[in-house]
Amino acid sequence: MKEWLLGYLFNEYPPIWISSWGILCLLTGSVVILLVILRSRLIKTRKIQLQEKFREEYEALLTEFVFDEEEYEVGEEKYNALVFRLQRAAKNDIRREVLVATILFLHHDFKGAPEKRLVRLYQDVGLEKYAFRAIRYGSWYEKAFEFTELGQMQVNHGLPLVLNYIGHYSTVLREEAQFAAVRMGGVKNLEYLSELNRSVSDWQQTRIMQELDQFPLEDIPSFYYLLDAKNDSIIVFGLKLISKYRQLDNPDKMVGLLWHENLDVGVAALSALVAIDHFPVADDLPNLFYSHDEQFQPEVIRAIGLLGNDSHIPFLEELLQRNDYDLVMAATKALIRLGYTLPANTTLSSYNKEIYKHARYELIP
Amino acid sequence: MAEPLKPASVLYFPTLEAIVGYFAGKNKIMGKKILVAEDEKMMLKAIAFKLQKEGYDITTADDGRQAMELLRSGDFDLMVSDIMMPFASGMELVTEIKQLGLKTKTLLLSALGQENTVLKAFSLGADDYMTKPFSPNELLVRIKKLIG
Repeated sequence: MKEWLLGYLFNEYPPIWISSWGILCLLTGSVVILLVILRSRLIKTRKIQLQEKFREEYEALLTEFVFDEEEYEVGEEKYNALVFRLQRAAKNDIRREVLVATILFLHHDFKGAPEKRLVRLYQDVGLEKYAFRAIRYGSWYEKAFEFTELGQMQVNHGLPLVLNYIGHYSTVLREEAQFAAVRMGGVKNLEYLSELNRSVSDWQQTRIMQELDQFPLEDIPSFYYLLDAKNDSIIVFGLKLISKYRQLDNPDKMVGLLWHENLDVGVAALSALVAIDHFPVADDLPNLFYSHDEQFQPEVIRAIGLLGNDSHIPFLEELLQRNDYDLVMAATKALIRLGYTLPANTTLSSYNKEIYKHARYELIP
Repeated sequence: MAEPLKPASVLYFPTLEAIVGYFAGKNKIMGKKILVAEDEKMMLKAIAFKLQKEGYDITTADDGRQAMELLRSGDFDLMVSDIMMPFASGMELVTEIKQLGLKTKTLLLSALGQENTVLKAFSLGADDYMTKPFSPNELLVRIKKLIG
């Protein structure tokens, strides 16, 4: 080492040797950090290059497999050779990542025979065992991705593993596991919902309902069991499902929910009763009207208009006299639906008469 | 009482008419030129592979601008195009075909929930549409219906 440097490093004055050693450490550290950054950058670039190369390889291979059914007949020699080749490839992390992504992409965009062939190939290659491993030992985002993968590839025997996460504290994991459970086991697996303590968001409910559209109507079970759940969001979801599929098994159970302490449950129960045209509930609706606040009352009046009869007209006429725009508007619409016409000698205020005209125009333009 | 079936005593030779008919049918497809425009490369390759396998003459474009240039320079029997693409949408391509007075038929591919866009495309003169995800066999049937 140069003498002048040694002179600084082992100088007798502390300020000089401390700052010399400091500068030396700083420089060495910077070089080390730079080397680490360069190395990781090189690894990343190499990974991207490999991904691109494998993507091209698997895109061509899988496209050929999916669309050339005669060449790659399941169980035949060429198919078995393909499975063997992919099994070997799957042992490499990057190859497997690209292979799975390609299978999922093709599966997502094509339906019919390609869909079934891809599921069969995925399962024959045994890619689900890597997914199971990632669910057991991977980080949260790997788990969430694998739930989607297993759901899309209908790996039904992975359901018990997925069910462990349906009540997880992490919202992402919980929602992905719930969604995958529906996809993997069909509608039967909605039973898990009645056991859930955590609420199911509107978005998640919509996703599940949309997924249920994939199932034939004859496979859809009665959802009345969800009305016994302790979780209010599940009861609301159950009511939405009953309403969507117009299930008539036990409407009285829904009538009981009209007086539920949670207003959302009451509103959903009323909507479901309207959706299934449960006319007997109409006689309970005036009582329901008086037992709830103004937030719920217009909904009740709307239901009377759809389910009620002539006997409800005096009740609605009385509401026409109120000094509340929402109530008068709802009552007018209900009356019009019941075939009522405002008498010429009406005692309504001019303001309420205007509301009546407006509602009439909205319903009968 | 019906006579029992007898085994065929003579070999069957296809008539000249049948042979000509067979090759004419194949050539009918082989002569057809299709432009496939799709910005999703894997989708583009998959559609092109399927149609090529059926014997169609395929040209591909991975964005709207490229598709537009190809439409102007080539004479296609059919254009299969995604609606949402960079530079020019499937609808702009349909409009271009009509403006150029081309006889190219159009089949648009749309994502779910693009009903309004599809209706607009029909009003512009599109001939058919399919919603993704779709069955490749259904795509073939529709193509055959449009251009034979």
